[in-house]
Amino acid sequence: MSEAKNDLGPTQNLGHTSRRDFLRALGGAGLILGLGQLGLPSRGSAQEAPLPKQVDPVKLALERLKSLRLDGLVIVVPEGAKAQAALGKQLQGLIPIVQAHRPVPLGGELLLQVVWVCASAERAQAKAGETVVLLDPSGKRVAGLKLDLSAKPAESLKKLQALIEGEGRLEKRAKRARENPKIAAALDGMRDPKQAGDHYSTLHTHFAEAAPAIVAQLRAEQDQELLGNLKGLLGQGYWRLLNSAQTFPYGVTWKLNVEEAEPCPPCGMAAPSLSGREFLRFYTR
Amino acid sequence: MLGVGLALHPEPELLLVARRAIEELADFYEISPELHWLDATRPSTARAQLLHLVQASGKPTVGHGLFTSLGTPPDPARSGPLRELLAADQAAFGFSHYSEHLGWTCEGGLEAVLPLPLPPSEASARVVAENLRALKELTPRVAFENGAFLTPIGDPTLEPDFLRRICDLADCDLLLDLHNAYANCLNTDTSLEDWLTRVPWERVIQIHLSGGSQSEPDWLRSGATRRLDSHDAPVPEPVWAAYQRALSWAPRLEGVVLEWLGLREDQAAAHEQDLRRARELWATRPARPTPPAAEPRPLHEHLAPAEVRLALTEILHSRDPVSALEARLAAGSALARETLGGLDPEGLRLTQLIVKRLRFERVLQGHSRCRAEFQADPEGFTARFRAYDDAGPSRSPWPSQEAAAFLAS
Repeated sequence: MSEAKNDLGPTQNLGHTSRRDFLRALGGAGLILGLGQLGLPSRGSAQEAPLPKQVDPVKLALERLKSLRLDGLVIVVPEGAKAQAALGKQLQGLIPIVQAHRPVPLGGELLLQVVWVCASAERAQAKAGETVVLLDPSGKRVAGLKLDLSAKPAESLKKLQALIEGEGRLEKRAKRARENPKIAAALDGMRDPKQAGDHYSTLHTHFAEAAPAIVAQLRAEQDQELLGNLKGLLGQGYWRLLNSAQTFPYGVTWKLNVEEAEPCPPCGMAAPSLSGREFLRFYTR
Repeated sequence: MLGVGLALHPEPELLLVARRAIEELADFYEISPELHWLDATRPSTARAQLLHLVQASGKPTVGHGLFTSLGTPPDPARSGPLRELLAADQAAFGFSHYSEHLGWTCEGGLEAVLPLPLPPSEASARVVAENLRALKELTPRVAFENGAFLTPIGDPTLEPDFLRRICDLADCDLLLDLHNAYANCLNTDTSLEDWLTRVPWERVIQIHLSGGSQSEPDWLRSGATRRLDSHDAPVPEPVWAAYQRALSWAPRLEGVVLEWLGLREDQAAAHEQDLRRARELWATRPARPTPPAAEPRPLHEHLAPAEVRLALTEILHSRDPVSALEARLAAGSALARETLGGLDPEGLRLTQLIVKRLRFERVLQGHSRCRAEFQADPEGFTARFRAYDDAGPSRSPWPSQEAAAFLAS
């Protein structure tokens, strides 16, 4: 399926849409507050679920900054519906789609360590020409950037990384997350393989608050086993957030409990999972 | 009349990818209770959500079980909790009928999960019929599904007669899986056309359509491959041809279900296409389907089902199943050689690999720590799993219990 065919159009059928774009379009709402209000086309399903009541994304973002002690990244929303829809598509392009529990690329790490929100230039506290603004947990402006989001996503992400993590900001953010003793103890405890499972669970419970510290440790860690666990943790958390805003058949809310064991494979028992194939590669040596 | 339905598994990715098919193209859903229970006493989070979805749809459901082990004599200690689970789901989902896989999955407390073959004998038919009659106490109507076996026991062309005999003894219905029949015929180099003409069509109430794929050459040292019942590809043309036959021959047919596992984004269009084709053909079925005349053939004498289960359990748990089989044949009776002597060695090795892989996957599914550890060191984890598996076969079909046993080992 080519990229051109994957563009979401007003009358395009979901069944023929790329799932990655589908997940970006719907999952993005959970990762970038206000993305759903940028005038993007909706899916062409015959039985569309009713739209949720609109909330002020900036208000919601400020509440999250305060309660989770996270920094915020404000994307400045331009004037005009066409420009807003274009921005929406550009932002969707920054959202990586990964399989459940797989390592999270840079875009995902940036989405997890600060709260992303779309807002007017005035509410963003943007200076002339700035398109993104970094806020501290109190909602006060820290820095801004004139970023052209129509560039290739990889280039945009590199510049956003410099803004979000540069000048020791990632380390400061991680230190702040570690001020929660449960998070600090769980991250340190992950080094003990016998206790890793319990600490893994704790970090899942406090995932949104712990994410900056997890990312920081991932960047600095040398222990391969711990690295694998941290990647798995980040992957599960990212997938959960990505899917938190999905609309399932008949508008049913489907919440994933990542702590729960998964059920047995269905009756097509000869179909190996990705892990199953990797297992067979080693098992049959 | 049910029409054309979908196997509705509580997998969020499937539900998202197949949303349109679920909402607009399916007349009914097939639900597998074991997929939304964590063990025989606890439902998963998914059960309530799946029930909500089904209720919101207003569409009928049928049940399709995995763990009954029709080829094993009833064991109240094992089947009791499963029966409670099924009764609860029957009440909640209101299945119009309930089907189970032909074969056996447990023996003496050991759980294989994969349905394993039974000798097509009178003795086997009696055991299966007893279990089906017991299921009738819980659900309004009961059917069983013909299996896909990589190493069938005895003459594979007798399978339709075996199915007929079970239907007669249990007075139950048949869920005919056309891809299973196709795969078995390919793997045993027998004629699907002949197989189809011998099916007890007057008992068929439901059909399964699905695709499959070949096993990978790397899995067996010989490089041999077999057709797998993997439900991971479009329905192949020979199965479509068999479906058209079925529509003309099954007078009591109520519905057809399209099965597809692990549906990916790039497969969504093919999935919908299969569903539309199934619907178009369904609409052309004759008013009075007439089965072809087929004279039932008598079943052969074989080892008792219990002896076969014990032998296969031992063989599949050995390091080299073919050597274990040869040793058993050398020490066994003429009847044992008659029953087990025709087992396909490569099919046996492949069956063993699948049983091991399923156990491994249950370990991973049962605990996030196992998933993380495998991701960090797949080779080391596989070696640890091998030691765990060598210590004894699986004693639980439930991932949470398998993972707990693994972590405690």
